[in-house]
Amino acid sequence: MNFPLSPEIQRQLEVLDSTQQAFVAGYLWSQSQAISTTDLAPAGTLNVPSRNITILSASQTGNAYGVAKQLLAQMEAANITANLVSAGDFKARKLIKEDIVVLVVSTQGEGEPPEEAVPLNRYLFGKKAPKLDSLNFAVFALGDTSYPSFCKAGKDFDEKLAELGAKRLMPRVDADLDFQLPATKWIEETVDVIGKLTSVSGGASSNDVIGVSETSNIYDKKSPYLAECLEYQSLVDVDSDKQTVHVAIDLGESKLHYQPGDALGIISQNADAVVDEVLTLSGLSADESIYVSNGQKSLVEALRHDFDLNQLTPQFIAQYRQWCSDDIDADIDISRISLVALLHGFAPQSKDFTGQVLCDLLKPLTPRLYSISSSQAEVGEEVHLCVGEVSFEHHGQRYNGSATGMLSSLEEEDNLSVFIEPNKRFRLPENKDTAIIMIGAGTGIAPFRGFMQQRSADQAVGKNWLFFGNRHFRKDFLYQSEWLSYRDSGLLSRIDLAWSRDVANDRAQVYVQDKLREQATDIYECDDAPRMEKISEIAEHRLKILKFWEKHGLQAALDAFEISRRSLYDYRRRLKNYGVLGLNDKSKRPKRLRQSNWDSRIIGKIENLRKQLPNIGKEQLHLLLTPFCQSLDLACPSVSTIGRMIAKVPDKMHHNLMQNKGNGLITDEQDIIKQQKMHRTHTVYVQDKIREQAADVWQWLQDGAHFYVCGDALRMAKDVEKALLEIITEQGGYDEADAVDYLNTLREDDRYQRDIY
Amino acid sequence: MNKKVKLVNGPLSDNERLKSNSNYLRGTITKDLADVVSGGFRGDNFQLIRFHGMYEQDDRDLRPERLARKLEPLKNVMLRCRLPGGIITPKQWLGIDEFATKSTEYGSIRLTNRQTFQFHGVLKENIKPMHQWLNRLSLDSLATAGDVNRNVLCTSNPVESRLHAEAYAWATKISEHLLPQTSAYAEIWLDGKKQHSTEDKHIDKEPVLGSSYLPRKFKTTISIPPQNDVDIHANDLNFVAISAISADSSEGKLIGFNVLVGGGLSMTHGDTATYPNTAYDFGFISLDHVLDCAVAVVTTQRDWGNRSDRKNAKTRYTLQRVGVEVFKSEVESRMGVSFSPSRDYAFSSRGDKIGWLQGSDQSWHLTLFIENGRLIGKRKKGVAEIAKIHMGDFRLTANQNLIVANVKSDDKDKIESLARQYLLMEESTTLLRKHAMACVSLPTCPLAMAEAERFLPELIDKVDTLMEKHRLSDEYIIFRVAGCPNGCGRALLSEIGLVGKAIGRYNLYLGGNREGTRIPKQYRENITVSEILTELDELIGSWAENRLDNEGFGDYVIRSGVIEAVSDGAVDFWTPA
Repeated sequence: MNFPLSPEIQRQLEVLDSTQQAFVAGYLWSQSQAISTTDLAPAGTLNVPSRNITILSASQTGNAYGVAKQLLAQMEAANITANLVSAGDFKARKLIKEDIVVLVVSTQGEGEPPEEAVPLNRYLFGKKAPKLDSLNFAVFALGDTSYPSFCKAGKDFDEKLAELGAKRLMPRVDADLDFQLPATKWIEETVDVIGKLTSVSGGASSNDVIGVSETSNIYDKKSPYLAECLEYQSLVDVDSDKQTVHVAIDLGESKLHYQPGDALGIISQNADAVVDEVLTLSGLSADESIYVSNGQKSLVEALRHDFDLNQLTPQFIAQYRQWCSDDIDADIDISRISLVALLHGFAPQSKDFTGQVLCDLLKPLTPRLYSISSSQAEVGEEVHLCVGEVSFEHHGQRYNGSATGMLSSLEEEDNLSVFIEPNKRFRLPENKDTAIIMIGAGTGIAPFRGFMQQRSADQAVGKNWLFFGNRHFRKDFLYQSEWLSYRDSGLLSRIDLAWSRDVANDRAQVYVQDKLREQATDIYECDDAPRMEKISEIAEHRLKILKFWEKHGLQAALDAFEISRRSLYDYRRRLKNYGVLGLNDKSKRPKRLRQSNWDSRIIGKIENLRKQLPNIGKEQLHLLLTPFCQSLDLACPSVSTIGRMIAKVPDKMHHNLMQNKGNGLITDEQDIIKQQKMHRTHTVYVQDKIREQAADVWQWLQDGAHFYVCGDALRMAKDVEKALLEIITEQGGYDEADAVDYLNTLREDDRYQRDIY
Repeated sequence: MNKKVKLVNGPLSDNERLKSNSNYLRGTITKDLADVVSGGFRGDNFQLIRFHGMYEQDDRDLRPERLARKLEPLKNVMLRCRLPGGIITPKQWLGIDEFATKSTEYGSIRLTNRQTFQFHGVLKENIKPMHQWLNRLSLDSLATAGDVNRNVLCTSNPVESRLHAEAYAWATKISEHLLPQTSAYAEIWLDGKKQHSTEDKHIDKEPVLGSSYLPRKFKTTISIPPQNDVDIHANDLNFVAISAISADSSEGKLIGFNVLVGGGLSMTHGDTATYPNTAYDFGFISLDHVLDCAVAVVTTQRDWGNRSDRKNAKTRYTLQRVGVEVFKSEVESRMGVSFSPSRDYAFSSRGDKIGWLQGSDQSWHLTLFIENGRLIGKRKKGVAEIAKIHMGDFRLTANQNLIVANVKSDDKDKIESLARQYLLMEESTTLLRKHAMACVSLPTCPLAMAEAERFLPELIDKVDTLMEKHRLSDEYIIFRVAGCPNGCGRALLSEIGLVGKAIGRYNLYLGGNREGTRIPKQYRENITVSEILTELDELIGSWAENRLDNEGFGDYVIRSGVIEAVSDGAVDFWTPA
């Protein structure tokens, strides 16, 4: 290829990473476009008509909102009048009436838009999407290259708006975690492009709806408050297999204010031990001077404060290969490997590998956000968090996520740099009489504790209903004593619990009553049944032995159970390393299972097909799925993948467990009984509890209840939404499309809010 | 009713409201059982489950840590089985062994000093299955706690086989006769079906106990002199077996009972309105009036007992208030017959004879010493192994021991070798240890103020050393420890009794006798274990030096003036030593 550029410029371009390349490409393109837009202005129109400009921010953690605010400021500086509107306050149907919309949007999890932009997204992608011929738009997308669907929400909006007829004013810019530099350039560009479209006087009145009711704080992300940790208390039983802690932090004289639903940002910092290990393993000098976003500092300081040493990106692996002689395993799981772990296996060999090279490959260290679990109405100048410990093992060593790692080594009286990150999309109803339904799993219970404290302080009479799920009732019921007293006082109207690792309640009865019948049931549990999460009887027995040992000593345990010392130690090791599941016979369950990225539409389709044809196999499913996938432009999973899908989602796809009656349909009443029996051993999640209460949930919604979901975005939030749609369909008699619409209306009315991560 | 009877007119205690509102012991237990938010029972149900034989408890060792973690205490229940006379078959034993192993937090079987067993640490989801499990074994736990007539004791005496069989039959009859008639137990735990034990009763009526049941717990025993293993003076109603030599046998035949009413040991530290007392002798009745007599005593106490102040509600306080004679004549009028003068009898001992004994019917009985009645691990497995081959039955004794009863000569060796293999027959156990007793106390008992059962073995080690030092290793003292003054460990019928005040501190009582007919008196208050040992060293030393032939420790301390005898608990228990 023959470049029309000087060798010097070419050489400079080579050092750009993919994001920077993308940016430069877009930048240069927009430069040329900007000129042509002016050229395209209607001839003879000397007075450019006044334009209506809306800056739409769709933010989850506040970054997108920050960029949007900067844009507004720059617009104002350039004498351009614009409205800054949060996507949550924007009625999707108003879009047809808009003139110029500049969208700043971030991406969540697997390519989802931020919570507040979900209604807009659903509207544009739904059956009732409008024609947008008169709309002009630009998109700035924020994302994180370590996720597979980088900036997907921005891309989706950008493409969809164009598809619906809107005119793209300038190419979309996709920015990674270090978004500030591209953002600044994009803002400059945007102001320039729009400035050329609009008259100086402007037409629309400025009506900034942002921040009306929010108290702004002196301390923020850039200048965090150094707060003291008051309390650091485990919330789970000593033998729980997953640590979760309650952290109380003193806001002292900071005058920091927050509302239930907000998040606390913690500026993380890598542990000295980790930094030292990186330096030792890489052979780099701690004193090397490094350029970071805001200046220059020593490598040791930069590693401590500026870069994420836990999460590596695919780009890191791709580029790091050239610096080490060993071949890095192609399918190394980057979501599970830290820099230290990587360096242990693959130390850099080249002399040219400098600290600057390393830092340029690393992601910037970003503050961690935690949902606040308190209300100032109750705790005053304190803020409480409920934090799950994220740790993983590599080469026998344990590593913690940086912020959580900090929290897990935290002690009372330690200091933390914190700021408040408001979340306007997760607020109690203003009307205190309004009922709320709260759905949380694991640490997702956090904001609801804050809600209850607030409702209690407000003496709110609206009913409160909690759905909560975690692993074990007796070990992992977060804030159990508080929920019990809220129930006793009548504040908590209803509570439903799902324990995924507890053997179903009536299991014990099976043991007593149905010994014989149980054997029959077992036959039906042997095939694709929920083996994955099941704790076998032998494992329970072994656990009992270990408990006995702990309580009564080694000799007593050996005598009582007549097992060898060696097995006993083996059980203990397995329990410690793998949890109770490790006590299953010959369990080869890996410590960590890679999450599957199966498309929920495909899963849903399989479920539907199997409901109609209970005994259909994976081969036939593949045939039926191919046209479905083609219609949605999805890759059709292979036959064996379909097989795994069936096996992995057993609680929703139980029909295969029926015996084939020849006609593929369930006719035998006996089968139904067996099916019910099987359900007893199925893993129970919050969505199952919601389904159980379908009629009441629907009634509450009819009565105006607000519906809140907090927890894991990948699975729990999706499953809950699915359950909710089912309830709307079944209880409300809506068809699928209308149910989606109904839910979207709830969203727009702020009656369906999610805080998911 | 006698108009001169002095009845209590105070406001009813809250427990009375609870009982009468309970709809014959149902309450809302079923609702609580289905409540998955808490592992425990709420409000009245917390108390009502006691009438069904359960106490809600939690591991007090774990409680502070769980509370700090904002988790509720690890709630569970203790279940006490109903086992009149303490007899259980090997098949039943294997059943309870399996349940204890698989479905309780502690994995133990606890033999109690009221001749039954307890499961400790049963989690909520296992409660209903447990009752169904017991029901399949023809066992139940109805009325083993609460304000009812509880498990009926019967001397375990394996030697006089025929007399024991007769007495045991009466224990069962009395137990069944005084049992609550409500079908609540069957409804709640057995889904309405009760296939074994007592008969179905569909209409709730409580002709004996009444719809608000008794004012307080009520305990009944049958004893066969000269053994007082059941400790009659700790009980409200006692039938002392009177036998006569019959023509057809050299062995005595049961002809009737002396009836003693109003024993009991519970008191409250520092509250002189509460006191332990021995039972009053009402006289003799023949066999055809036994059930009528039991009903008459129970219903008199039901109608006259104090329902206002629970600390003053037991039979012995009713006797004091109305007068023993008034109470007695009311009983006579209710049973329609008068007591005849008491027949002669004498108690000589309370302990069990550990080891093999041959009964009058030639079959063999092996009494196994079970320290604190606590069966766990190897020893528990040993009993199960014996149960697998044993053709006779088991007897739980009032001293928390276990008798392998009715062993044929041919099976003797097999059983003994299993017992030895599983450490159930250890020669080294001293007499002192065999006569020692403690209540359960920490960590499960909610009333416990100090350690008892867990601490008894090491304490006995130390007292053994003292006995050896004073050359008394072949002697024994009835030595008992209780974690609180509620009476379970029967410390107030011992020669040396410790009653817990606080962790590591006890009141020291002296002066009971070996036969169990005299209440001891407080000798030192609120002292530490080392102080106790210092006192005992001196007292045992002086006993060793100055005792008369075979004089027991309790008799010695009274004769030598170390302490005054309590002659009537109501009068002189609290007078300073």
